[in-house]
Amino acid sequence: MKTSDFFQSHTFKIVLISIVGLVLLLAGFSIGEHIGFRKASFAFHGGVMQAENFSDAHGTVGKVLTVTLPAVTIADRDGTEKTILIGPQTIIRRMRDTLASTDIQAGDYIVAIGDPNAQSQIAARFIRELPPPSVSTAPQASQ
Amino acid sequence: MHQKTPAFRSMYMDKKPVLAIIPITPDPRILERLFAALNKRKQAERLWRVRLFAMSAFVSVAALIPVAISLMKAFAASNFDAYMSLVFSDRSVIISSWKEITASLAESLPALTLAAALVLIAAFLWSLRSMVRFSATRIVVFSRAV
Repeated sequence: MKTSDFFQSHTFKIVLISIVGLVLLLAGFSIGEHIGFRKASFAFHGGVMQAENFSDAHGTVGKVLTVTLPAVTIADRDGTEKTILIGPQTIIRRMRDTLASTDIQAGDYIVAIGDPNAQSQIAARFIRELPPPSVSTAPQASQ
Repeated sequence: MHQKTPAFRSMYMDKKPVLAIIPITPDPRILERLFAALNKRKQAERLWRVRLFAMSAFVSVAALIPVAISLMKAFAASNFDAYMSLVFSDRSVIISSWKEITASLAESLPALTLAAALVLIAAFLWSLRSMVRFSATRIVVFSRAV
């Protein structure tokens, strides 16, 4: 068999597709492993280990419960309470306006993204205040 | 000597056994009847495949309904929509925090339910394609015109 015939053969195509598929599978597994570790670590340090699912470690969406700057406690949609830390680099917005940290009040509905720390707090990089949701989608705060 | 084989008959000529080969003249319609039988068999196999893929398409759609409902519930319960809205509303800020927003989107994605739904959709599309392919193809093994 000539070399050119081998590279055009059905067997070679199957081998190539199998290799690509295996690479994608391993990459997906590795990414999932990394994300799972971060979520489990966040849940463990925060004392909110759940049987069904771990909460998001890099962000939160929910209603502001208490504001004790620089810490803000939020009731997430899944019922867990998370603490976000507002720092000098945190950008806070409402509609097109940029707000100060003192503009956040209890009862506001916000979405925040940031980096988790060892105390399962999220150092917020960006916070956006959202319109209050409808009754059916309102978060259920843990008691 | 075997008397049942018509092609070969033993004959005695001058008291010496002579084996004579008598040519067989087959039925002139045997070729067409053979083609018809082969085509009929191929058509039966094609019809069986069409029914099999139709059944698999129906099963995949039936299984997709509860999975799709579960997927919609999972998306509604997750924060994926809120994080995705930030990508469109605050693009310039999100670009500088691309690691955090990427991790947030990945963490909030209901991956397992989404994968199950995609597998069922792929199964349905593949079954549909195979069903159309086999139903549109009329397999003709041989024909006199060829």
